Amino acid sequence: MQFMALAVVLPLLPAFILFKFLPSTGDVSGPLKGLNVKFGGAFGAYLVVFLALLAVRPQDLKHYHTWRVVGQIELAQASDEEAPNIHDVLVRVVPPHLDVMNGGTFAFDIPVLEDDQGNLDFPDLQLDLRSYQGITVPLNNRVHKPYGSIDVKRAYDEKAKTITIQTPITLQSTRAVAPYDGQHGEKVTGQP
Amino acid sequence: MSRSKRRALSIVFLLGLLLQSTVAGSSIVRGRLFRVTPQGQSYPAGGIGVSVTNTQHGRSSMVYSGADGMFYLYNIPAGAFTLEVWTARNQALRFPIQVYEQPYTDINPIKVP
Repeated sequence: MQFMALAVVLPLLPAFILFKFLPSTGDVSGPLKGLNVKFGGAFGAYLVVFLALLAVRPQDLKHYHTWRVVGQIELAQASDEEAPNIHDVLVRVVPPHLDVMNGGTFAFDIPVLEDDQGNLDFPDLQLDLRSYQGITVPLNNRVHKPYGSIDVKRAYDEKAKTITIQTPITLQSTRAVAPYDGQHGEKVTGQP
Repeated sequence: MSRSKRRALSIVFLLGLLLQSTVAGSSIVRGRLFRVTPQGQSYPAGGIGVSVTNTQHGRSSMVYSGADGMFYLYNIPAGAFTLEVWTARNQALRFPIQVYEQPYTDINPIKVP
């Protein structure tokens, strides 16, 4: 919207200057969208600048901005009701609607933070299903190391702003593997 | 094919084998995060970031615990690591752990605040 306002107003400036101080009878003529047109004087100059601005307009007019939301959550419960842990409150931003479609495919828009150096900070995808092993898929486009995460091949299309995860993401049933031994596992008692 | 090309291909092949063997010798580190109510009842703690780190491999990708409190760190090579449980931004509980060359290395349940 701001760009369109600029595109309409900005060409007035050179058109005014040129034909105020350098009177001219110049005209613009030729085919335009299948029509033969001929414009003269200041309007001709205005039209040239206006069309030039339209031609170089940014292609990604629809884009995300990063905003910070600051607030406070309080819990109200009956006097005899147990107070839950405040960390258990789940906060979700909608949209994006992160739904998996029939056939297991998914496609959704995500906000990506860009710092002042132009570096993009991609978020992670977290996939969970009851009785299946959860998987976190890093979307970061820095050097990928399958260390901590599963090894998935990803393709980045900077122009279309699309990340294609080319490897199917397999969720593993916990019933098909050795059960988790939470009692005799690696001890983690004692804080550093 | 020239000798230098064959040598380069051999090196790439050997590096590929080495990388494959590293991944093959890795383990899935899994554990469960839980919280405790003031009355002493425990319940799963989901959505908490977990990673491992050591001087040889650096910090792993971050994974998150699911609704059941379980977390799974994939492709972790055998060795000594520090397990990091990110309870807040830039704030982690840290535990020394040993990862074994076996399909799964289980970590005892961890209580988080």
